[in-house]
Amino acid sequence: MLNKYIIKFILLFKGLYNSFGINPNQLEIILSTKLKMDDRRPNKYNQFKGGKKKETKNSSLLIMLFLAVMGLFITIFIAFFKQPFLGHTIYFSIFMIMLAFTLISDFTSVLIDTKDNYIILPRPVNDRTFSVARILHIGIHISKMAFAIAICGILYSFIFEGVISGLVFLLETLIATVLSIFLVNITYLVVLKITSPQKFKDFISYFQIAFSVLILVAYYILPRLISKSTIESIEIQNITLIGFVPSFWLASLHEVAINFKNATLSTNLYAALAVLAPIISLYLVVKVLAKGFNQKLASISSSGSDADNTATEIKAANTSFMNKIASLIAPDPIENAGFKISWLLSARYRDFKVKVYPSFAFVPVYFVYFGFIGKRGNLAESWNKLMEGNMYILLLYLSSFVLTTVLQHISMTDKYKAAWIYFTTPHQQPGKILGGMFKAVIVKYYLPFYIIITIFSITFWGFSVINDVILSFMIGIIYGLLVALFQVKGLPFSQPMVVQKGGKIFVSMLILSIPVGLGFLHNFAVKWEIVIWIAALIMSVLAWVSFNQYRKETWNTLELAD
Amino acid sequence: MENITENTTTPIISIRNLRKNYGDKQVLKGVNLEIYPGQVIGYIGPNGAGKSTTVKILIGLIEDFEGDVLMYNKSIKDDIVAIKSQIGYVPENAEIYDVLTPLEYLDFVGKLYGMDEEDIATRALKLLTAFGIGLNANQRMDTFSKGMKQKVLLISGIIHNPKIIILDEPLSGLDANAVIMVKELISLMAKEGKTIFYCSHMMDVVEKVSDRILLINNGEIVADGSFEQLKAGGDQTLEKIFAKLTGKEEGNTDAADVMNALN
Repeated sequence: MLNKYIIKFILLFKGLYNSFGINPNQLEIILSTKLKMDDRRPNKYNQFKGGKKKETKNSSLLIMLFLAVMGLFITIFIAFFKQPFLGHTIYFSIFMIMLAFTLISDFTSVLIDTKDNYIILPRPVNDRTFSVARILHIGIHISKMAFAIAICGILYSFIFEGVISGLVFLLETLIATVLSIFLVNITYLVVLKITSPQKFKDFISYFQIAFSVLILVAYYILPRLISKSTIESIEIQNITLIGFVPSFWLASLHEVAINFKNATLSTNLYAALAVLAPIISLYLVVKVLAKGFNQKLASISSSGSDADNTATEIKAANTSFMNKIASLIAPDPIENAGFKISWLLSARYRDFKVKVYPSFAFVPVYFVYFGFIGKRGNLAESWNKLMEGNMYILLLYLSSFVLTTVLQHISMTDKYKAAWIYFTTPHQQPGKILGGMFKAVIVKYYLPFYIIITIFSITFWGFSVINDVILSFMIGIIYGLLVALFQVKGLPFSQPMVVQKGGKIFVSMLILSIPVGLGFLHNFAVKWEIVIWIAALIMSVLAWVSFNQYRKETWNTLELAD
Repeated sequence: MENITENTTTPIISIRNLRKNYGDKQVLKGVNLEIYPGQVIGYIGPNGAGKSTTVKILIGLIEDFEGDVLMYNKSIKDDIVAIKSQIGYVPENAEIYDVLTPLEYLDFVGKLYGMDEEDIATRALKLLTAFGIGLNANQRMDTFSKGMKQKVLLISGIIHNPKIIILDEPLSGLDANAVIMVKELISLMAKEGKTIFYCSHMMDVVEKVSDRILLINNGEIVADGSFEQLKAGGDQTLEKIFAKLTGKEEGNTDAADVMNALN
């Protein structure tokens, strides 16, 4: 519905398009089709629902709704912090970061989509129509996102601060949007400069991961760590180098507009910069950056022809470490194959990385959340209290999140059809492949994490934590094996993404209660060192038995994709 | 495009001294061709020989080339848009907006050719039914098999009833019945005077559907003639002719290497 009105508005200028040699009918069909496809495209905000590839509808509206809610939260900054510059600087800093991140993580695929080259360009569409359709499509997308983030702020400014403030806010939003685009453009160029076009898509995946972590941190930590009084005490205009922050220029523009008589010379200068910056950046984007940008984008899309076929070379050094570990801990040929395929594919399938890597941030985030949040006193006092207790146990047990997240995703991918190879090769016991997979997950994801946490724990709590580390590690492995036995019923990367069924959620809660319960017991028994050592030994034996059981999985117990 | 007229004695496509470099790599080294209306050209060559580049130039995807490409006696550089309206193209890879349904996709493509919405809908449904996927007309294509997507691609290449049809591996993923149907379709369209430029690695199909075969190797046309004319050199199958002209005269050398590796 919204798209319909947007298209109608754009077509109001038919005469103008005709005079520039743009075909309005083709423009209309290209834009309406592109917007329809945007609505059906899975995005950053609905991909974590874990849904089976069911038909996505109104995807853009969903993103807009999400961004509007985020916009509502950040409107608090302009509603509650009335000191000069403060609210607007914070609001537009977050606005620009959100918009830039959303554009990079969700719209890059549209930007580098090469399908247009084969679908639209061979048709009788002239370059101008094609280019304008592309620019308008990107423009509509950006406007939707910017509007969604800013709508609450705009309404607040108009209703509670008056018409002038509302109009200035609109102008600030426009400037912030242009500057965000500039930021994105620069980011793309820098990335394309330092990396190969083939690696560009990987970069976008890492950006999506960073965005997820950012949202997680913003949601759990920031609101609780920074109190209103702390922010209110900040005199933002006195911060060194604040003059380099674009959102401060926007805040200055706001100050000049509503408090013109009291504006200082520097405030006026920053306000002028706010107006000039988008003009300069637009000039730079159009005249200087666009050319190189388009060439670079073309280089991303020009693979697979007579021209290049520059395959991504994998250096032997990258795999020799894996080969050594594999032959050491998975000597059985089939187990070795399961180990290597899980190790290699988990590093190369983007869908896996995007879903799993953000969970690595959960451990430190939750540790900070449980360790510091809600504690009385300042940060130093909280830290001292933390050192006196057994908080490292929480940290150790939190690490099993990483293990279970990896295990829950290791059998799933969009490219699951490539798994036919498992079913055509002559092996009776798929459990051996699963065993290799489990070992790869432990060595590649769980162990490094654990080593870092162990070093951290030993540094701050001393060597006496060693038995706790061993016990929790073994409980983590048993927990992982239970997850693998009851929840991971597929070979590595052999199943499509599916929604967890109700029954499975119950099972996962039941399995989760085991490390939670054992963790509490561990915490209770921590003062008896010998008990922990004995428990560690028992758990090691249990882990060994469970692993051997897991290794005996048969074809009958596996869930096979269609 | 109404002013474009055709005559079976004058070439519909003329390629003159066509050259194209990618950096230091010379992909096309002066290709010369005259193609006449109603001809079915089988365009074959090994990987990297220059086939895709030739096709991309013909459909206007590559503009920075040396030499001339004339269609209807007009340089494609002068008015590529008008020329494109007479061309139908089916790409090698199943590039398709698969979140759309076949009808939505064909409506999109038809409108880019300036067709009327009702005409598109009627023709699209008839074509989808003829290709055996009429019942899937309103289903999103992201669940379609490769063959079903290929059928939609084929339809999108001919929905505007073009005079020149460029097919790049059009049979990829199609079932046997659909292959037979497309082969017959090519013959019928040629009889109607349409020019077909058919790129493929499937020698047996090229041998059967083409009335003129062009073989490109290392950016140069190394053979040009009907299958009967090419056979006059002594080799009885197109495969053997292909192997000979692309430097694999002892066609089984590579296979022998493979066997050696296994033993």
